[in-house]
Amino acid sequence: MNLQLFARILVYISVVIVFISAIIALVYDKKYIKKPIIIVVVFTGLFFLIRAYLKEFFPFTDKLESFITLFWLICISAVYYINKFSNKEFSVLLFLAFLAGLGVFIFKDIIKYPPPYLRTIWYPLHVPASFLAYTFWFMAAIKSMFKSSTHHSNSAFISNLNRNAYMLFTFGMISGGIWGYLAWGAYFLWDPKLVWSLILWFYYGNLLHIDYIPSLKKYKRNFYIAGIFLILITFIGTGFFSRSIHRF
Amino acid sequence: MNIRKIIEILGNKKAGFLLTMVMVLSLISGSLVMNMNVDIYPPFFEFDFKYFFYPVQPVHMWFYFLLIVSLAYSINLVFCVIEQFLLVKKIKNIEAKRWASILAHIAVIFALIAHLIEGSTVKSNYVEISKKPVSINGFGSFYAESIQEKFYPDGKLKDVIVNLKGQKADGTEFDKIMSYNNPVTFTAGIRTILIQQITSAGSSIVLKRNSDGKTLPLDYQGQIKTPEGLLRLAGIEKTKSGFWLVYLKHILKNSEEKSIYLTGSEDIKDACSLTQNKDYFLCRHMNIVIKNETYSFFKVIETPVIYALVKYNPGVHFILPAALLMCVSLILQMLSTQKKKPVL
Repeated sequence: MNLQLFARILVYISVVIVFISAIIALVYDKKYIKKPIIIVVVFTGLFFLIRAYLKEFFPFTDKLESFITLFWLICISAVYYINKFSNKEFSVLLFLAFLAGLGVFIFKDIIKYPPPYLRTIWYPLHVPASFLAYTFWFMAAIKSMFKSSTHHSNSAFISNLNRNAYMLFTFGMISGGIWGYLAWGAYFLWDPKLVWSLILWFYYGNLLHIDYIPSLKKYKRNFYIAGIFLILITFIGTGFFSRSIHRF
Repeated sequence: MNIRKIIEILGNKKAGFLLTMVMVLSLISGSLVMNMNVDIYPPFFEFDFKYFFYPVQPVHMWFYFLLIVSLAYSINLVFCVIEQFLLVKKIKNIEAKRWASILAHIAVIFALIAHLIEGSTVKSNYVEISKKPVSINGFGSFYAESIQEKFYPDGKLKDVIVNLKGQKADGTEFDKIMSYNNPVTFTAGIRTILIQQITSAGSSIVLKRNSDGKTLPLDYQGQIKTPEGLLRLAGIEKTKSGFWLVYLKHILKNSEEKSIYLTGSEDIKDACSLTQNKDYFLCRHMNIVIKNETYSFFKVIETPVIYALVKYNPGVHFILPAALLMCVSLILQMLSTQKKKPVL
């Protein structure tokens, strides 16, 4: 068995574990699945190590790796914030990770050397920071879907997630801007991915203020749920259905 | 109405929230319009306002609306920052979180100014950089002293290292290394030369003496002395059929210049298509006489050529402080999240 196939099998197993864990969290209790999710994190971490070794580069460059990166980051965040979620919320979060993980069954697994543009330190800083921000925003949206989000502590947790996500995304935007300047002489271009990143940045930056505007606070949940669509368009829509240079 | 009240109204948080949402909506509509009108909006085109105003078109409506909303948003943002400063003056122990927020808002103002400057002043064009010197207004003249390609084990391009030499617009000499993600910059980053692609092109020619077959090389920096003056290489191009067309300049002793075209193509029309000259006579120089010897075109030596983007963007001087302020804001925000108590 070659290394590439071995790495893929690790993710196959991980995706199955996550699916079963999502059901266990829904039917029984999330306390039973912390260890299996840690195993998933380790397995997927090995997947990235193997691919980094084979590519001689950071493994976030194609469709398969992008989806598995999101899968991995959701699992890491799920373990870290396990006590902040109810069983139902945790189950939805794992189901989201499972959907991202399905990428391993859909996309072609090709080991390719990265093009010269990607060979910069700004790339591995830009991509994981942005993806982790997506993860936190997804978590905030899932938390908002359930009634418990109106409780003060949960509302504060949602704002906290947004603040962390916004900081990460801002860092992603700065590192992406520096990379853009060094590679294309521009920190911003009318590229669909860049426009949609700006949309997300303004949208969630705006939501940081919602707690200070009493008349709008009642719409907080709705704004976070609507945010899911913006993230999906930024992450998947521009990647598959636009003319973006960021197209997968 | 006192000044404080005016600041409060113009920096109103709710108005700011709604303006941001309107800006988000106009960006969404702009993204959709751009994606649906591929012929009007070329992929990956730069942030240039001139594109939207010369000429004014109904399809750009989303952009005009975005500009108006951005202006209102900027005014709100400026007054919001002023209001924050007034508040800070009142409080003795200011939390790091509050400073982080103020700095982040100032950073956004800087970023907006940077984009305004960039949008109204940016200039860019593409040039081919090879051993042949190229001159760009504001940049000076430069050429590639050496171009070194690096490859992966599978033969795909990994990087290109270019030793760029030349003279800046102010007359000072420069000798810099350029590669992918490592542009050559001038005027504190306002002017940049960036590698976009690498291709190959003719860099020098070899003439053949008809009598004995002896060869005579000639590149862009070199010259051949003739009884009448000097012969210099002025251009090498490929015809549609793939034949080389060499353009030579014969500088006579009385400073008069004569153009000479040499080609390996037997199809004169094909060769002449590149000279943009209908006078076929110019293309009939299949041979050239130097010191009573007849020379003909023998071959072209191909070397790598860099297809580079040359860009002028004064907005860089505002985006750098914006990025710096935002980074400081992020650090302060992280500190305040960890300590959860006033640190300032």
